[in-house]
Amino acid sequence: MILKRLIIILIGFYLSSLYAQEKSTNLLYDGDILFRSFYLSRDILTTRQTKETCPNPWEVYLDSTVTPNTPCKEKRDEHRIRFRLNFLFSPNTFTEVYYGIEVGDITFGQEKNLIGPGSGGSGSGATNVETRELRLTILNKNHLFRIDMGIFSYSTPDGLLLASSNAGIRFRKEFKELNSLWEVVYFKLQDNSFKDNDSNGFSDENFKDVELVSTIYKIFRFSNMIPQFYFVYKRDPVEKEANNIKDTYQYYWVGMHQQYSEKNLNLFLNIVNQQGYLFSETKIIKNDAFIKQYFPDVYQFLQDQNHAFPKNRKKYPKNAYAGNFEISYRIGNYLKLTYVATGATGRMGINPDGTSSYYNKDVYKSARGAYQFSEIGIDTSGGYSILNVDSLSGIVAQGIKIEYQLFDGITFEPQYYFYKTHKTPVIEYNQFFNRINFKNSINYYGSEWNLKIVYKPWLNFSIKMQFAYFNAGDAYKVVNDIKNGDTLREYSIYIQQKF
Amino acid sequence: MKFYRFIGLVLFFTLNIYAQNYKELAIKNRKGLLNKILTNKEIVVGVQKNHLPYTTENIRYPGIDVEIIQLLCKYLEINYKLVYGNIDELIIWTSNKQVDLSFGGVSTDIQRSLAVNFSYPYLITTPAGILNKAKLPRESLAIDFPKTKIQNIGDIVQLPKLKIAVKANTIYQTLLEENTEFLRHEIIVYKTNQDALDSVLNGENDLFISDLILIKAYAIKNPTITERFHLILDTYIQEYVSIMVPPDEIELLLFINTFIKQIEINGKLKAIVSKYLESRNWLSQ
Repeated sequence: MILKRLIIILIGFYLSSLYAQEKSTNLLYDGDILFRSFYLSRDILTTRQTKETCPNPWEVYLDSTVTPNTPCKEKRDEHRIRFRLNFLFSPNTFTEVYYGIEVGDITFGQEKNLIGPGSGGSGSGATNVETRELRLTILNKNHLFRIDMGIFSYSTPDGLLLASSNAGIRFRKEFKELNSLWEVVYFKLQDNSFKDNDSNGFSDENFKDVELVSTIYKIFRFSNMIPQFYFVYKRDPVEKEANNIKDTYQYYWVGMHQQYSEKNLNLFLNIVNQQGYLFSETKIIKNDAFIKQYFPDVYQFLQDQNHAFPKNRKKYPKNAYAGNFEISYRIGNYLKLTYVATGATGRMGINPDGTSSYYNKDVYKSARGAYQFSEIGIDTSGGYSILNVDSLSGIVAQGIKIEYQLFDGITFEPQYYFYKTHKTPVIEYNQFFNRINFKNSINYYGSEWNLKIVYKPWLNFSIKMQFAYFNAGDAYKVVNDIKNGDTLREYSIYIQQKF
Repeated sequence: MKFYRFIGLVLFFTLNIYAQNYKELAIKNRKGLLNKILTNKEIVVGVQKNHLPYTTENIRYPGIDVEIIQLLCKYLEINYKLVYGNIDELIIWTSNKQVDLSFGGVSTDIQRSLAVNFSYPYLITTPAGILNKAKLPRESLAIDFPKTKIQNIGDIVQLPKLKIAVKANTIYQTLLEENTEFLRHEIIVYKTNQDALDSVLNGENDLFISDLILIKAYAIKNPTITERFHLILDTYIQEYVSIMVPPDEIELLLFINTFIKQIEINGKLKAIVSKYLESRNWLSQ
């Protein structure tokens, strides 16, 4: 009987395959699968050292009892896989329904994080399957407008200010007579799970309440020049998170992006100005670190004085700038040279009077940007990441990239980056990397050498190998108060199939 | 036992295990060009010369069209003779019955169908493009950030003013010039597809639009294209690439339709197309 049933089913499949219809054009799908593998090693801390110094590497080398992975030094590998599937339904000419689902990242082979948060993301974790996009679009091609409602990703130029998945509404209209496009978005929720610091897994609170308005005006009048002007307003009204008092803010950003293309030359310039206020219950005490360390009683007295009055929030104004620049020139079919630079106003580390620079007027904060500059230094791609767009303040970074196609389908891309602090970091309050140990403060933050090899054997399939090496300068050691160690290494392979 | 007999019958009819030779019956009863082809044991077919990937100059990989013709001849046990011409010449020759059939990667078109009959499509294609990456929206480069999708030609409405290169007198020129959603862009017309493509490769223009099969063939032939450019390959509107059959030759048309269905069902058509659009072997001499 079982054999009979099996044969009937097989014949059914066979006959149905003969009469199978083509995929309907009313439903389109696409997606990709991405496998990432990292080998990471470092002999330097990536966060500020607070209690005790990392041991001298020579002492560790001589002592065989020391475990291989400590907060000070590690060698590890980790692997991730992610699958993305998007469906686009077009029931009629004026409507589109879009749904994007993501499985993963599923991380495996990763040791428990030694520093920083580490949660979720594996096997049966709550974030195994996520809705990444869910939108209803109403469009009229003749009147050149569209309205998107729901959850969708949104980015301002280069992700320097905003690049995340959000829930809200977007209105886009093209003005043919003015050769321009105007876009306005209003978001009530913002995805909080986008990984801006590597190795911190997924946030439990994937989407959080915000009030965000963004508008972009693009001018298309010129064929080799595209000026874009944008404005973003964001208010975070949430005062408490998990019963902890939290800073709130109300920020405005105004940005300008200019793109110029001329045959083999491409030039991009992006500048953002931030205004607004940060509201915090934290009261800045001048020479805070110094008093806390050497006069704890006085420090406690000042703290008590602050607490003597009912809780109120102090208003910290903002006037900060961030920007990035890129110029690239192609020589023939096989060679492309690119110079990139980025930076933001502010100070790295603490102020000369010992107070935190976080509340400084010129410290740049994004509206949840995702800016990718290099592989380790300023990075959001996985593996090590020293800075992200929200910790960009006070840095000036420059880089040179050479893209060379050596063989058919294989591209080599050596890169060099140089990081410098805008203001010399303060060494006076350091416990370990200080003048007593004959160390001085300078602006050199570090250098990074990368080699990227991309192989595309067939359409929509790519294998990318990356070798990244970061050598920390004294400014890095001053900011993080690190006495020993120098390097971070990240070797990674990305295998991606799009469909 | 009855059940297994039934299974045997199903397999007999669907898998064609015992195929019979009906050729003699065809020669006796069929009329017109089909009868002539079977009697003379030769078919004269019009194609475009070196029109990649439909025809090539590689003996081992002669092109999609030539491989389909070879397959047809194998079924009919006949020989073939190729005649080369451009699309207009092929239409005239087919209409005047100077050739028995024409291939050439020709899309079905209402004007053309006045002169010739079109078979069922053996390929379904769409307008596709090769776009300068510098014209893509400047978004976050983070690998986890989902980028704006420029996947079909309709998506270029999201891009700034582009200089688009197309071959003259093609449906792509008409499509771009008559559709309101493309009015913002500047259309530059070239005599040949190669000239239009070269203008984009040289950086003079931003986007080259042609049919999907041709774009894929160019990308496979020249891997720098996939490195330097963004390929727009998804369906915007469907175009049917068909075989042209002379007018008043219904029997031949019906036979060609059956032939296309047959090679679709047995997977031979897919195998031929994959050979040219998914691998680079055909480029080696």
